[in-house]
Amino acid sequence: MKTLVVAVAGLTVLTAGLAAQQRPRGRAFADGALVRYGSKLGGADAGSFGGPTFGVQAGVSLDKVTLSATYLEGRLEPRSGSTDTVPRDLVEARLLLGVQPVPWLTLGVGPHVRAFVFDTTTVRWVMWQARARVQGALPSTRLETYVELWYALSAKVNLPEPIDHMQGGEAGVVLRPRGSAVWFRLGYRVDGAQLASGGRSESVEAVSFALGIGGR
Amino acid sequence: MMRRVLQVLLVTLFGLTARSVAAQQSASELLALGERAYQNLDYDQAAALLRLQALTYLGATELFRDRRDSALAAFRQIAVTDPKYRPSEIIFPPQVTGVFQEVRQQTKTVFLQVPPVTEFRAKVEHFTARLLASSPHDIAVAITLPDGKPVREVFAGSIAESLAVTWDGLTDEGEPVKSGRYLLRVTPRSAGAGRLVRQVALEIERARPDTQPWPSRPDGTSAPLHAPSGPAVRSLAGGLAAALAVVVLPSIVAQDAGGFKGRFAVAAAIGGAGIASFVAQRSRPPVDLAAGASTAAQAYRRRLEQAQKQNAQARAEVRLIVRAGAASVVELGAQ
Repeated sequence: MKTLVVAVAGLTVLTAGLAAQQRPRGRAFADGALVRYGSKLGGADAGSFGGPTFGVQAGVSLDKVTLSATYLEGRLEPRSGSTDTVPRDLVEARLLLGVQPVPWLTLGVGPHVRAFVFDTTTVRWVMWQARARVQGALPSTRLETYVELWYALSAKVNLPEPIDHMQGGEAGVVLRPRGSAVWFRLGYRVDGAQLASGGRSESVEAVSFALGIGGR
Repeated sequence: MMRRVLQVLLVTLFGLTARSVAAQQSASELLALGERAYQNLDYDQAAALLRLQALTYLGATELFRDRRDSALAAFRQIAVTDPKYRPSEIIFPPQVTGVFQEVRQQTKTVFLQVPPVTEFRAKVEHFTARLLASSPHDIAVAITLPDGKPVREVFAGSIAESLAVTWDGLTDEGEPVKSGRYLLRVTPRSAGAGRLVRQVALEIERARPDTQPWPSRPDGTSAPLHAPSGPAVRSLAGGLAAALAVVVLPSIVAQDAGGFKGRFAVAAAIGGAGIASFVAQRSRPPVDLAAGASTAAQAYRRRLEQAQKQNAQARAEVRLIVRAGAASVVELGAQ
């Protein structure tokens, strides 16, 4: 944790100088997604849920540095054949500080909280993520593709078993119509967590559609 | 009887005296012209002058020798050689010039005047040949293959003294002729043997299109001949890589994930975007000026597009180079 704090502080100091004389640029988007959440225990299905989520993200950029915040929530219902039939709410919040050293690469780090809210209790995952995103415009079109991978530098969950490791990824395509500040994004994201016991794993997948304004 | 003999003697004496004086003048003039042509190394002209001179005197001589057939043959040869030629009425008596006119009227032939080299755009411009007729008659003018197979009839009708015929370089099918040997053939349309066909060999060559060079780029380098493939390939690779990432991400980051089938639609959209970009890149002009909206870049693009347009037009049109060879005469009845 101490290393993480030092890394974030260093990144902030490094990029603050670059951004000092630039005007900030804002961005925001709304995100709707179809989510699949699955849990397995010893390789066997321990629950499968699905449902829509809706979220928003807002961010501000200073030159090559971006600070963004994301929030989303939705209701997950058990899917047919699921051994776990207890519905739950999914709530996620994320804060990310990113830097773009070259136009095609964005590196970021920040906290990410994911909570499964039941009627009587909440399972809360807290992690610090390191993200790397590669993006590139498709010449002669108004399209841009991206692939993003992240890894949890540290992760905690209020379950009896600690988290062994957690990582995820996302890929998609962004369309920005000519002469418009509005953009659209179609993407797919997935992450997986392995608990320390080795027998339990969880995954969250989503196909998302976002409508945004400002930077991507 | 005595009176008649006297008249014949007087006429003969007068004729011989006149012919002797005229022959001396004509010989000096035509010989001078022939000598001048010879000294100018124009042997064809010298030969023609001397031959015409010799034939004229030969015909007149044979006529006075009562060898009419030989005289007609000599005059006919003159008419065939040069339809414009007329014996001098000062030198030769009317009975000579009269017989010569009769022969010329009966000899149906034309004299062809063709420029040595003509370059023209097929269908747009013309190749022109000038025809001089020995006497008014109907003719057909055609471009043919060396074996006489017609390629294009360019004229059919009457000719009085002269006529200019043009040919646009096309065949009867409307296509520009291919490179090769052809004949410009003039055939009398009257029936009967002994018709004289005048023809000129034509060596025709399709010229290479005269295209403009590519303009220099604003950075001083030459424009590429082909569209650079780098951006197109990168677009395709970028789109396909992202699509592949969507497909394989679950197995990389969450091996226990169920594999959301909806991701394949996303993968298809991303891959399709990459392919669309690839196609768009390959079909665009061979210069990437997307990043250069400067005035210089725009001016360069305009020059490039103009050069491309003009070069496309140049390639679309066919230029023909026609080199005329020697003229020849073929007697149809003799074939």
